[in-house]
Amino acid sequence: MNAGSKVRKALSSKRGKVFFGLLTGLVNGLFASGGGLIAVPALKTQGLDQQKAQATALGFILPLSALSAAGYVLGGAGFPQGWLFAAAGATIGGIAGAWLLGKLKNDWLNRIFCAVMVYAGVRMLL
Amino acid sequence: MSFFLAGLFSGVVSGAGLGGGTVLIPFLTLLLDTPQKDAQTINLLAYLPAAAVAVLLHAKKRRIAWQLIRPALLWGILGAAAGLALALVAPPKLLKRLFGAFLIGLAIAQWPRGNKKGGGA
Repeated sequence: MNAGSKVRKALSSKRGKVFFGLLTGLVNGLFASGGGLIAVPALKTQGLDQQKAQATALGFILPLSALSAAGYVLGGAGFPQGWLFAAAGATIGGIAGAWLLGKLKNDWLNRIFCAVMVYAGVRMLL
Repeated sequence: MSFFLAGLFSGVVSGAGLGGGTVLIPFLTLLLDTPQKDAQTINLLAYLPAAAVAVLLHAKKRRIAWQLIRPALLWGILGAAAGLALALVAPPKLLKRLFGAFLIGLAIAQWPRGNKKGGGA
């Protein structure tokens, strides 16, 4: 993992923690997502297994997300009432996904998933 | 209903550790015509309840390495404030494009390579 190896040496130093914090925070604030995809590989370089890295990343990102959410709402971004339904879906789906974790994880599924991300990204760029 | 389905799908992906917001946000903007900033707000709000419960459960089972993240938290908050300010002042179209580029970058970084099992996070 590229992002991870770059942070490897750094995260154990003080400057590394500054960089890790700033980058994860910046992504969380600017894109309101994706912080975990940066924090998890970085934390794995510190010897955490996948489960602990995910748990630790979540612990780090939760307060940042709360802050960002408050900022977006106070900053006047609109949010249709549908967010409540999205929240219900995300919660139920999250439990199902955690249960499926490991069962459906394989390289081909990940590749398909990444390909969809590229497709969505290209459509958003244009 | 479509919001529920969007949330459900992204929740499964997030629980499986492949992302979450990176699915919900494009889903909302590309398929449901939600403006980028609104989609980002919805994503943050939608994950707070589930994330709070998950953090509590993980903390109880002592899976969170607090000693690794505590020293970085202040910097994380500073970074989030900076990112938030940028997102709020950015023209919507620019923000959407930046997000698209970010997605492509993440997909490349997550792409499973050869011997490594699992791949993305």
